[in-house]
Amino acid sequence: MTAHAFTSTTPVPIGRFGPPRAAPVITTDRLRLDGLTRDDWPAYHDLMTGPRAKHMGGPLDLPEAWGWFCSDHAGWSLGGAGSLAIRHGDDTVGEVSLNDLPYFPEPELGWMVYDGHEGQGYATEAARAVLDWLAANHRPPTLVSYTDPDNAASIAVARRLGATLDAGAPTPEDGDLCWRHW
Amino acid sequence: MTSPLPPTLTTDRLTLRPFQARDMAPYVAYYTGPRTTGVGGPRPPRVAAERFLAMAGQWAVRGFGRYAIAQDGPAFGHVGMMQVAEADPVEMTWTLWDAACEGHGYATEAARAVLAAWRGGPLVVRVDRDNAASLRVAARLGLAEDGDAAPPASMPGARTFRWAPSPLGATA
Repeated sequence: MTAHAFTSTTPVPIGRFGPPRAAPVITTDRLRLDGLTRDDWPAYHDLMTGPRAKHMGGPLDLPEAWGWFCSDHAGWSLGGAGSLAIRHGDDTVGEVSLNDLPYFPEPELGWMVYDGHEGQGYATEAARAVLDWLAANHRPPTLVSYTDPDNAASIAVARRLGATLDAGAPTPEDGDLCWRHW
Repeated sequence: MTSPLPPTLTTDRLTLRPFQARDMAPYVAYYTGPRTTGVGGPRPPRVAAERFLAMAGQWAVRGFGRYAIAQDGPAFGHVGMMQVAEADPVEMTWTLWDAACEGHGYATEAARAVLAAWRGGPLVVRVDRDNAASLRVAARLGLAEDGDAAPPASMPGARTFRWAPSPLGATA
């Protein structure tokens, strides 16, 4: 697919995952993935305004974090991609996202694990389930994950998912790594 | 949670509806252009896109938000309620994205419909002191100015107005 630089005032039209649809509910051995709710905000806020957010475009201030949190909700109503909360029992342990952002060169799969829930394999399990779901439900022609080059934990998730490093692919920010799922 | 605003409103000339993907390009053109001076802009396209997505997503989180102002095609403005932190007052905003849309009374017509439909609490409105067109809308809506309110850091030239629903329901 053609790479899109987001440099003009005309953004890439979103909708690369198809038309709007409801956030799905996906279950795995340990996890339930479903739409974000307002109750997910405190954990999201703590992560994205804290030190671990340096690998995810942060740390953000409160209005920025709120804007991103709202944006994660917007995807399903604007196009066929958005974010899902990762639930483990009564805990919400993170978020997995299909991102159709106009400044992303390609459709993207992302994940984040909230503070205190790292190291349990939740991101890998959730992302794998979303990959399987996507393959059967309006699969986009390409799919990648972008990581910070210093984010060892997220790079390990990408490798476990079977993604391969695509050094030649355009990225949203100089220095980002592009991991190709297909 | 009962929403204090319906998802769609119609007026004589306008449809106030949820944002759609086709509304992003005109919003980005607006937010990267000179019309956002005084309300935190202009900003680069990426920031504009983030603002658009955040505006669209607030409905799912708060149960209320801003509407796209449209007729049959893509949106040419937005109107409605925003709230960042829980402790913040609910703020009403209106904006026409293109100067060509000014002078028809669209902002007043849209804002009046939103006020009439609002089933929430008191509202704050902030208008840049140099924005004569928007100050006229505030006057037409009958908003009361709060001359003691300090402008927020993001909008240092703001004049503050307040609106409260009447005990018998909104009748703006």
